[in-house]
Amino acid sequence: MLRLFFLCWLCGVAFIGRAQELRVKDTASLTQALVQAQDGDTLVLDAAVYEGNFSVTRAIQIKGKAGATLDALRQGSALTIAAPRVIVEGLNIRHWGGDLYDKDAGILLLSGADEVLIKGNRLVGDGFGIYGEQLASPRIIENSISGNSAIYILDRGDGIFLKHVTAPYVQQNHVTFVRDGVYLESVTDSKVHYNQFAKLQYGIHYMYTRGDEASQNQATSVDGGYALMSSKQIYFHHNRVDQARDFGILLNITNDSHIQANIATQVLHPQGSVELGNEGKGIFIYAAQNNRIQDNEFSQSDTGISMAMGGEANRLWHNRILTNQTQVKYVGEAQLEWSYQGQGNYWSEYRGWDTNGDGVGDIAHRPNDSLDTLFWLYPEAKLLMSSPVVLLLRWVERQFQPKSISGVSDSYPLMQLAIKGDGI
Amino acid sequence: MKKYLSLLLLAPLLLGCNKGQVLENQYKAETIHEHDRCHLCGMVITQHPGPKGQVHLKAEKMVPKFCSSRDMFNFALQPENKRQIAYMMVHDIASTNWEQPDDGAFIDAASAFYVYGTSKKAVMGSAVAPFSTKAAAEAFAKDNGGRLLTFEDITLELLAGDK
Repeated sequence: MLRLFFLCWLCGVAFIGRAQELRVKDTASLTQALVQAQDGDTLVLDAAVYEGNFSVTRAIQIKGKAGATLDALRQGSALTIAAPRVIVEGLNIRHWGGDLYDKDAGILLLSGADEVLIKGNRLVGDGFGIYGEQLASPRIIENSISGNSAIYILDRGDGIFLKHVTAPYVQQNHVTFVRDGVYLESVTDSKVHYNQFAKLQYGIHYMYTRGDEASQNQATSVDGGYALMSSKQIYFHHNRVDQARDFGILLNITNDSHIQANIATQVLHPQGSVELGNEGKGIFIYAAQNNRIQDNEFSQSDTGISMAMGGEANRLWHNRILTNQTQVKYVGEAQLEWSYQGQGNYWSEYRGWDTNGDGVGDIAHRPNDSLDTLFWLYPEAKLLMSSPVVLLLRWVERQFQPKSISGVSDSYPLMQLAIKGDGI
Repeated sequence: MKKYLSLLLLAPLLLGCNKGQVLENQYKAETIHEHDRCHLCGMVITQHPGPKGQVHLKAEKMVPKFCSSRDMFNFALQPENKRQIAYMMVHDIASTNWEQPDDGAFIDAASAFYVYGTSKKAVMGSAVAPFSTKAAAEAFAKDNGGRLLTFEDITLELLAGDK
């Protein structure tokens, strides 16, 4: 008898402890299920529109059947997650509020919502797509996030906004019509790979981050491709940006980073001017030090590489600088050598010879002569630019290659576009 | 007689109309709107604390504005920009607050006093905090740390040396 009782008790424990699957089909049953669900339960949402603001306080799994839609009725956040290890998959989420101060988001991750998985959702709304603060290791994968193109770009929320978050993993998301695609502030060890960004401010925007990695991202039709600001130790590689307006890559107060094998092309500012310094720049480096910049392509832009004073202490080699209106702009007084271990960069305008066949041009390449600097300093003299005297001076300078002039020099210009990928 | 005496009293006011004030009249501080972005780094200016700056150019109508007085100097001290600048303005921290400086408090940058290396946070690195009077700058430095500088002391080397 006692044995039978014990058996029943065991069964009972097993029953209570077992993860349940709860089917919900309308707003009321979803609200109830969210209250009743225990850690480990799975909520399956049938195709329906679930209206209101929903909160998750247990480590549960929420799965949407095709057509399952959360609609926040244009107020607040659609789904707020306050528990760790929550999984949200396959939902449509729409019509959350647009109050950025209140952090209105499609999915709002509160402090302590560690190790969540947000996968394969479709989000369309005004505020932030996914907003997370003070948490660890979220995985945000294969979501499509779209903001509202009718809102002025700076008043939109970011697609994915993470602040004081450690080790986020952001992969294969598709983000459009937001402010920044992925905005990371005071984040460490982020991984951002294979995302696509279009029609927004910056694809990825780093502020005060450390130890991050981003690769295989694509940004098109943006204000800027990737802004690396006030950050350290970012391995930024194999990303692409085209049709940007302000910059492809911005390196600003960012140190000890490795910028490798990225492509920035067609960075053009229709209203920009070199005199105002707001022309489109493939890469803009200022107040940034000890960065390695290799194997990248900067092409078909207003300016290929723009370096302001304070950006001198960086190593550049094996880059391809192709057919930019201005290949390099640097007006500082220092003499800069852009090569490393006998290997420089490939310059589309280089006309030197390689008599010993080692793949490196025999004479150094100076992307700017001293007259460029003169015209940058005295733009009002530009009308003289094509005068015979200036052409003569340019020719004379090229013949004598004065060693003492300031500016950028590449002593080992590469003859071939193809570059042996020797890694780091 | 009384009339002349009062005229005499006005005389110092006339003499006080120096070059700086003429420039001040010529260049009006522009309001920084909520959508204005830093001319150098592209950030939305009003979203960040600390004193801002703006630069009036000789040949251009457009007035570049900056997220911080620091970025203003970073732009203005570049050799290619130096010559194009007619007048620079910064927020006087003596007469406005740090978190959201008021645009009524813009003053001539060239005659301001600066505190550099303070514990108060701005953006894009250590703040370059401007003050209309030396006394105010000294008082601020005493409370918040940092050293007193004049306009001429601020160089790209100084700004680059700070990480």
